[in-house]
Amino acid sequence: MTNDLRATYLRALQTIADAGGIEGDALRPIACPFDPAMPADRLGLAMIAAALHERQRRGYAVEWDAVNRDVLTMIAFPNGASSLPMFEASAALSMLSLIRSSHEREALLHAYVMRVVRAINDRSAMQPIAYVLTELTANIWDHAETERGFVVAGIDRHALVIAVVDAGLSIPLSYDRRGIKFPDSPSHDLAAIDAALEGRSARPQGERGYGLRTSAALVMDGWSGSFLLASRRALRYRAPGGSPLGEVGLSPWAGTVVAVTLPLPLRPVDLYAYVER
Amino acid sequence: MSNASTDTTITIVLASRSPLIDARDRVRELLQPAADVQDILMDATGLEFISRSAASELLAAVARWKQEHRSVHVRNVAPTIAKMFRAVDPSVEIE
Repeated sequence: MTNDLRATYLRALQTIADAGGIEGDALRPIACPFDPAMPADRLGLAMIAAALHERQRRGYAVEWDAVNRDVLTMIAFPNGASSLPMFEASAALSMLSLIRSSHEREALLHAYVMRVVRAINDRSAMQPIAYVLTELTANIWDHAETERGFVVAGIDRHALVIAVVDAGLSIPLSYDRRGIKFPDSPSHDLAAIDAALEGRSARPQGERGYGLRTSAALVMDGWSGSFLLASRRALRYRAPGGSPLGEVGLSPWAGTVVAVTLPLPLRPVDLYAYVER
Repeated sequence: MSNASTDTTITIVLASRSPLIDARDRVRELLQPAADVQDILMDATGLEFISRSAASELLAAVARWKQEHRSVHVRNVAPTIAKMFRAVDPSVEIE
């Protein structure tokens, strides 16, 4: 299936695990089996980019293999565009590498939102697309204790896929840092993911966490899209018309992955009806 | 565009870096020059989007300043920005 986020997530996890993960003595080049022409594959590319960046950050070599290396380079894989000149020189929906401390962070995100809006030819979608992207990336800066996050988008005739990926602090560990504990069981990570989706904030003041909850509602109820949230050893996924699917005991992902598929053309939505919920 | 200030007044240009404000940390950076200023004017000219979390941070700062009896005004607010402010705090007054 073209835009099966769950299958892509699991495939990327396996690909990274097969190459030895992100640290240790048994690291091998990460094979990159993803095709950027397939929107959901952009999620896999962002995960591999994040894994490669983590290897580099820990002092290991950055090595990857792909048959379509030239095509991937055109979309700024694996480093991602991290400045406006880099982004302007890259292909339309290239990969962004947002850096927390960069003074261009917001300008890059704005430029990316505008490219997505142009790609789907729907100016009215600017505010809700910006909402989803800013709330998901804000979670990285607020909770993941990392300097970097990857943003990708891909479209075909039927769907727009957006993914935000970090390899920082996972959702369960972020709660743990705030003294919020979940029962020590195989479903521990899934319980933390569900708490985040329900709006239980990990911020110190104990206020509600709106970003994930309202973004998920906007994507699933407003646009009839699918939504995937994965962190550490669990994932929660819901496709249109389906029941929420939870999986535990997966290969671990250090940080958090959020990905959505939105059917095109986008249904008009009143963003503020979701924000106020 | 940069922020202009005297000892007692400051104008903070909210879109000085980008037409979009994405997160709480950026609001804290933007508002930092106003820390010890009595009269604060925030100019939203050119601001196209503010995230919910950023709007929440900004309105919390405004509420704090008003409690401290400081003068705070926000001008040139686009309708979409005003909607986000009202979504965060329905009682907020936008000029």
